[in-house]
This record gives sequence, C-alpha cells and structure tokens, in this order.
Amino acid sequence: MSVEALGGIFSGPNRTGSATLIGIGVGDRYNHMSSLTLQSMGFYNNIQSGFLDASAREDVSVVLFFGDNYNGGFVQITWPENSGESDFWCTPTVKSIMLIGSAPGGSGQTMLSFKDIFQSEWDAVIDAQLGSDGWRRGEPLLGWDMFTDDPNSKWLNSSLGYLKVHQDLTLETSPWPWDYDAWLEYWIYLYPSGGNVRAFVPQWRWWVDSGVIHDSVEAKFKPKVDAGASALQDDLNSKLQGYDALTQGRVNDVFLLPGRQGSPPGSDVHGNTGDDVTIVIAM
Amino acid sequence: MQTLGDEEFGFAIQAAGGRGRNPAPRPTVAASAMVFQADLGGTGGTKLPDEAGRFAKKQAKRARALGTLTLRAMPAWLDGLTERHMTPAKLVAAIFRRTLEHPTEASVLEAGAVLNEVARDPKAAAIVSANLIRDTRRIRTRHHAQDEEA
Repeated sequence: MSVEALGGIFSGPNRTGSATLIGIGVGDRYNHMSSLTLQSMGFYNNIQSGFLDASAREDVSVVLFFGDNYNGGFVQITWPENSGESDFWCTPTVKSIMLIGSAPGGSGQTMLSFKDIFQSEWDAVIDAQLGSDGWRRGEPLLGWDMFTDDPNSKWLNSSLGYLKVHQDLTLETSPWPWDYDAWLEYWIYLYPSGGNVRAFVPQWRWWVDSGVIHDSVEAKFKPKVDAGASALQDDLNSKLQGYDALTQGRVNDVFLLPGRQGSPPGSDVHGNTGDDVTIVIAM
Repeated sequence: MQTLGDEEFGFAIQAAGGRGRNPAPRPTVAASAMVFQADLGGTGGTKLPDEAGRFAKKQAKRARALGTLTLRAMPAWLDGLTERHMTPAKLVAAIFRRTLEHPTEASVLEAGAVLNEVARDPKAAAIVSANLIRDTRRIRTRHHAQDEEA
C-alpha cells in the first residue's frame, strides 16, 4: 500500500527538535498514534509543530487530541486535496493523534450528530427499562471509543471505532432505605446494511456501588442492562430507518469524526469528544 | 475497641517497649477480613452479526496504528549501512534514499522507526529534521509518479 499524504511532527517549534514521520496510506480512513505510542517515541506532551503535504486525491485531516487515546479536547486541521504543504503549531500538551482521509470537499458524504439522533431515544429506552427501579442522574455522556486498547473490552476490535454512551443512575433499593449509585455503558457499532445505516450493540458494561446489599442490587440491575442492549439497538435502528429515504441504499461506508461537525472538514475545528460525535455516511 | 457482633472490628497496634521505631501496625484477623474490595462492575457483549462483521473486517484494514513498529532484529539493509560506518548525515541520507526508491507505507513506517533510533544522537536529530522536510515532498512526488505509471 502506498502513501497518500505524508508529513512530520516535531518536539520543538517551527520544525525543530526531535522529529518523526506521520502520514496516511492510500485507501486508509484512519492512521493514528495512541498515547502509548507517543510515549514510547518521546512525543507525549512533547509536540510543538508539524506539517503535512496534502494528498492529490482526498482531504486529509490531522486531529490533535489533548486527552489520552483520542479523547478530550481536540483541534482538527484539514488539508484539502492538492493544497500543498503547510505547517501547524500547537501547545506541547498533545496526547494522541489521528489522521483521517475523506472525500474531497465532503463529496457524497452526509454528516449527522450522534447527540441529535440519539439522546431522546436513549432517554426513552433507559426510562422504560428502569421503570420504578431507579432514575437517570443527568443526561448521558455521548462520546466515542476509538481503537481501544482496554483489555476489558473483549467484545471490541482495537482497529475499529465505536459510539459510546455512559449514563449515571441511582437505583431504588426499597425497602432498604439507602439508594445505590450505579452506571452503565453501551458501545454502538454502525455499519451499512443493504446500503443503509444500521446499528449494533456489541458490548455493555455496568457498575454498582459497593455495600452490604451490592450483590442483590446488582443481580436485579444486570438483567436490565443486558436487555437494554437489544432494546437500544432496536430503537436506534428504527430511528436510523428514518434516513433510508435519504441514503436510498447507496451507503458504502460509515465513519466517525470528533465533536459536532455540521459541514465537511474544511477550516479548523475545535471541540471536545465529550460534546458530541459526528457520524459521516459516505455514499 | 468497637465490636461488631462477637468479632473485633478495628486495628490492634502493639506498643513496643523501649526506644526505637514502632513496628508497623498489624491488623487483627477480624480486621483483615473486613477489607472491602473495590467493585469493578461487569462487562457483557456479543459477536457482531455476519453482515456487520464483514464490513468491520474491511473497515479495520483501513485503520492503521502509526509508529508501533518494533524491530526484532536489525533489517539486513540497515545492517549493510551501519557496517560501512557512515557519518550520521550519510546514514540519514541513505535511509531516505532507500525509502524514496520504495515509497510504500511499510517502508515509510520502517524508515520512521529507524530514523527515530538514529535521532537518539542530538546531532543526528537535527540532520533527520532537515531531511524530513525536504524528502517527504520527494517521497510524495515519487509515489504519485508510481501511481500514474500504474
């Protein structure tokens, strides 16, 4: 496989200090450097400048994350096709990097906000699942989990990206007079099915506060979390069916961008992966 | 000492006579049995359905972790270069030249890993930086020329 766009990152300002190559391969969607990789190369919290020579065939974005493993605050800089070589500068607090290749000018791509299509569905599903056994503490955290290296995530593929929902809860423990805190998380994988976008929930996780009735509270909570996975998947797929008229069986790829991006990558984007995730449907 | 049923609940600290440091506190048998273990929660999951699995396989091939190459042994080409005891400038130039001849993702990744090692010497780091700027354009140009030929 050949190189589509190539550049470098430097520990010093204006192309000085230690350097290493960054780039994206032809046909690749993501090339990425995790926090562990940056640490092993001496670039963790130690990048101050860089450059990229644009691709002749696609737009290439460099996303600098100020949190570990593609999370937290980020800046996304895009090199449109054939835009030549240009530099970037940053504070030395970058903890992970991602390069994303996408169609020039966002051609054939539709962008959706995870929060907009999901949050109301989530509230309905979780409220129905919990019934009188508990309640949501605040709104969910809607983010992503990209190329996870968490050994506990055995149902996830470390080469894929997932949408992730985290919800804090309070569980009603009547007749025990003290409620228990808990949280649950679901991972969502989006894929084209019959040329339209569909969702699958490959993994879920839960936690219940420690205490003397922990086991009985968890025993009651766990089946609800398990059942919630398929309920969530069904509801999300019903919602996604609403976009079938738009996609008309032409979807050939689905990928994710950090934060809320209403238009194709162009000017610099600043945001936080906890704010939202952009679902890009490529046709 | 507080009690919980018939069991002791608390730590017993022995008072050592004479001068010197007190021994470390030793929990009683009852106290050590009361240590709470942090609950880490649980994880459930299920395999992707076939259609999603097929797409996932294709998608996974289009995501690549950069800079994670670990060399188990010195590549023969690098061994050949180092045997010639070149100056850092000539060594760096030779590595870039080799990458220019075969500008594939694998060769760029390998060059990146090797150059990172070469740059452990601060003098060599400056040379790598200088070459990096000039030669990435040449690698790109060469790669595009190869694509057009293909």
